[in-house]
Amino acid sequence: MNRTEKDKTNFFIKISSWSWIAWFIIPYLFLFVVFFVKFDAASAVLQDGRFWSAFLISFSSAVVVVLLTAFFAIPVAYFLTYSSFRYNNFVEALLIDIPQTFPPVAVGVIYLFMLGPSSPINIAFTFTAVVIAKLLVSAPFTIGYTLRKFREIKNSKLDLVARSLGAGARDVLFRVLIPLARRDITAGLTLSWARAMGEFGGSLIFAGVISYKTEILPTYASRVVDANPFLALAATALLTIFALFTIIIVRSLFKRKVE
Amino acid sequence: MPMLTIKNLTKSYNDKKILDGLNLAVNENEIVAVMGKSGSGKTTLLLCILGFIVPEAGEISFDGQNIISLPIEKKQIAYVPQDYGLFPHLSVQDNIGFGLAVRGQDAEARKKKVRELLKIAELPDELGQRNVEKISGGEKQRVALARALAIQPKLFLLDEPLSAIDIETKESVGRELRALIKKLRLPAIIITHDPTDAKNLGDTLYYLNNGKLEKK
Repeated sequence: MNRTEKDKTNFFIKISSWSWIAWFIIPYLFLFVVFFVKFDAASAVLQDGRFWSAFLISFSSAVVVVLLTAFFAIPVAYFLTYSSFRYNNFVEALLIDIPQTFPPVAVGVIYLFMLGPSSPINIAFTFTAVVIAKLLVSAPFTIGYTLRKFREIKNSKLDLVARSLGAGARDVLFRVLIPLARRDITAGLTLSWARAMGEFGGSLIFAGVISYKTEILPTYASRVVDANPFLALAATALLTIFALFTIIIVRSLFKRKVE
Repeated sequence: MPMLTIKNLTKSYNDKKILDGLNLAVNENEIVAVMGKSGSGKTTLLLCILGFIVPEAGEISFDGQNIISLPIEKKQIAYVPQDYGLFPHLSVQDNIGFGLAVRGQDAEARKKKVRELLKIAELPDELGQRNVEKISGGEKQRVALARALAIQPKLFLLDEPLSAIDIETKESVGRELRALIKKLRLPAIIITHDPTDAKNLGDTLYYLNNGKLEKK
């Protein structure tokens, strides 16, 4: 490759990378610029009781989702690491990949029929419905991160060494797998929490938008955007701040791990 | 009479026989080196002895007792994998004391035993506090052996023990490793792809080919 061709290639790589980066950064900058320029109008959200209720429901349901995920993800990841059954790959895809690509609205529709007014167990349009809708799309992050790390430990044969030293399954889990996967489990839980905070489609269909009962921040933003766009903007800015904090925490965890 | 006897060990993957009626006898204090190309079944043999892989046929007996169905944690086989398998989240002393901790030994007794084991492995006392990722390759190997010794093993299984050692120190580390195993008076099986390592470490040399062992 001669010098001119090399320069052209470098130029193309830089231009495409920077335009891609700008495409993703501009909306965030726009959001915060408008938020601060129109701060008086947007800050009205802080006096809106409905907003605070939506915030609390979002926050508390995300906390419940994270607690449930933390309780189940580790045994599930352990099971998938050490079990070899016929449909292992399919079950793994069902628990990790499919929920991340499945349209959230479809999740809501399925739950509405399965656990809604037409079923014997009717929990639609309740706080529990918010949690269930969020759990399906949020838990896969933690299960995926934990499973990947457990497999890495298994491939390094550290579990085998522990067993040869006399450790039973419980000791391997608590003395080797969990301590070594600590950062990955934390990173997975942080992403699950962020996803639970931002979940929209499933909750909208299955839990509905009942103010002070099932209304969460994303549904609040969607409802107020026509009447008062700045309230929606403020709610969106808060959600974005939460997401950014999450990513910063996850990045710093992994950076420390590399160091 | 051999301490370890393997008779007719057979294991296949996807209809291909990796171990095909393999026989081996290891005497008291003998170091057996098993050579073979990658994929020849060396690690499979080791994992079968350890009990992590169940063979289709064959018998593995230790001191006259069939150990094939004993759970891995009850076999008292000291296994040291290729990169020593030290737990990176534990200090040197916690690595050495791991087998004692899972047996419920109290902290004070464990500390005393770890100090003894450091001495046997010819490692300084102060190394105990160090992070296992910040010690040399030779020290890691000794820590792995000291840790294995804590469970009073009946047999050593070492997978490519010199592969992570740099070429300049390989010979001296190999010599020290052999001397240490001899001092412990335990039978050992060493798996390696390197004929020089096999010659430097083993008393008896075997070549694993077509699922069977050929004496060299």
